Amino acid sequence: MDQALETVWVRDRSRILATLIGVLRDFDLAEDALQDAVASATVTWAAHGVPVNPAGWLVTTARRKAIDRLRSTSASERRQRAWGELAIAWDIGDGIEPIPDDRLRLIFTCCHSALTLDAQVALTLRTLGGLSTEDVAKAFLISGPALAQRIVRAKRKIREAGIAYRVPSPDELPDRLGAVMAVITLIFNAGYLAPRGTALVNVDLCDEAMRLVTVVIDLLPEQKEIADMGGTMRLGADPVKLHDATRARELYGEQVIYERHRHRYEVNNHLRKRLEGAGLIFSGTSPDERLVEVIELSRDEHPFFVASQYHPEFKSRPERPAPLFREFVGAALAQAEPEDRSSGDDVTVSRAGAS
Amino acid sequence: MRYMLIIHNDPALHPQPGGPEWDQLMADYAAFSEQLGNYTGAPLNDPSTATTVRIRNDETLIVDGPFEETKEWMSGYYVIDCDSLDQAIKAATMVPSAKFGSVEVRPVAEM
Repeated sequence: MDQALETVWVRDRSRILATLIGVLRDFDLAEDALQDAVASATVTWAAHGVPVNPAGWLVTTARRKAIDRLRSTSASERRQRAWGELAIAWDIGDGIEPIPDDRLRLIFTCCHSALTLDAQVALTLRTLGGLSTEDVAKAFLISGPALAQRIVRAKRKIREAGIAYRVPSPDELPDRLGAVMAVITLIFNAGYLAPRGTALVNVDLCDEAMRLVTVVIDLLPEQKEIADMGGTMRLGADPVKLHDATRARELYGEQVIYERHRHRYEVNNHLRKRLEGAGLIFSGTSPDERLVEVIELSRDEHPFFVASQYHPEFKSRPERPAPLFREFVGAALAQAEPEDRSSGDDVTVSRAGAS
Repeated sequence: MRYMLIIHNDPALHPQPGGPEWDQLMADYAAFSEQLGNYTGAPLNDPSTATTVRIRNDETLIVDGPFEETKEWMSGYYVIDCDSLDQAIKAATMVPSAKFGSVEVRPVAEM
């Protein structure tokens, strides 16, 4: 049950939230109502099983919860919400229908130029992304409360200044799309030039940027330029086929790996036969074997000679090092070992002597 | 929603009465106002004609001049009814003085 909730949360959270904001016209009410619905789900799903359409169930339940919340607010506050609870109750559905994808409207609202760029980034990551406020704050080198404050201010401006929840009309689209792309680029760059964090490249932010570009491409299919932009951001996760009985295959332990690419040049295929004849082993290639991705020399030639076209550092973390690095360090340690061991023994001996 | 378009101008950058540029500006304003149709608004005279009033400790203080001396000053306003901020921003881009000064778009706080 928790597993099902976790799955729908990771996969559909931003879609559900976008739908709710569309109905409720209020970011805070939507987020609160969704929290209520999730709380209900932990109880109801455990008792009655996971619904056929978990995302639809959450939307329907959140709408009911929103009505409850509105009923409990003061009369004057309720009057201010011009749409009122009737509009929310309208066609509330049974939670079986698939929910519409409102994320495009949401992204245009979050990336409205009437908000500061900082606020646009914060709000976009918070509502459409899957990162915690803490992660977002860390990536942009500000404190959690400062980020929360930024988001609160942005939401208030959206509400008070009447920033519409809609996809811009064709004549406004070029400008507005430019603003969206600026935000996504900033998120991507913050990940790529990660100011701090455990990875050289903050893959999470890069992935978030990629996901956002994908949302725009998928939901606004006529935007060819953006498809190209997605291309330049696509750091990789391209498949590499590792050939049997090679060092690369052995140290990754898998036949197909996914790594990030950033290169312009390739091994000249005309020379492959000659290079192979001279002892170079092409141990990794693209799945169709047309592009060389990994080369190596046999152990007889060199204790550890493995080189890749892709950038293993992009996916490497201290706690999850890239196999190439891990094994290289291992090989280096093995080379140095005899000497190390003797000095280690010295330490033990001297300690023993002292005690 | 109602929005106020607050027009700010730097007189040094703005056409002055007398020249053909001024006549053009007045024609543009007439056209813009007609296009808006339903609005309230007015041009304002320059800050040298302003008087500022304050009441402190039940005493009325009257001072010659504007509330704040700045290079740019408020030269007029429109209050218009719009569906959303986008529509108000669009109207603001059509204010003739936007080319010389700036137009602040402020939602009216409905009480």
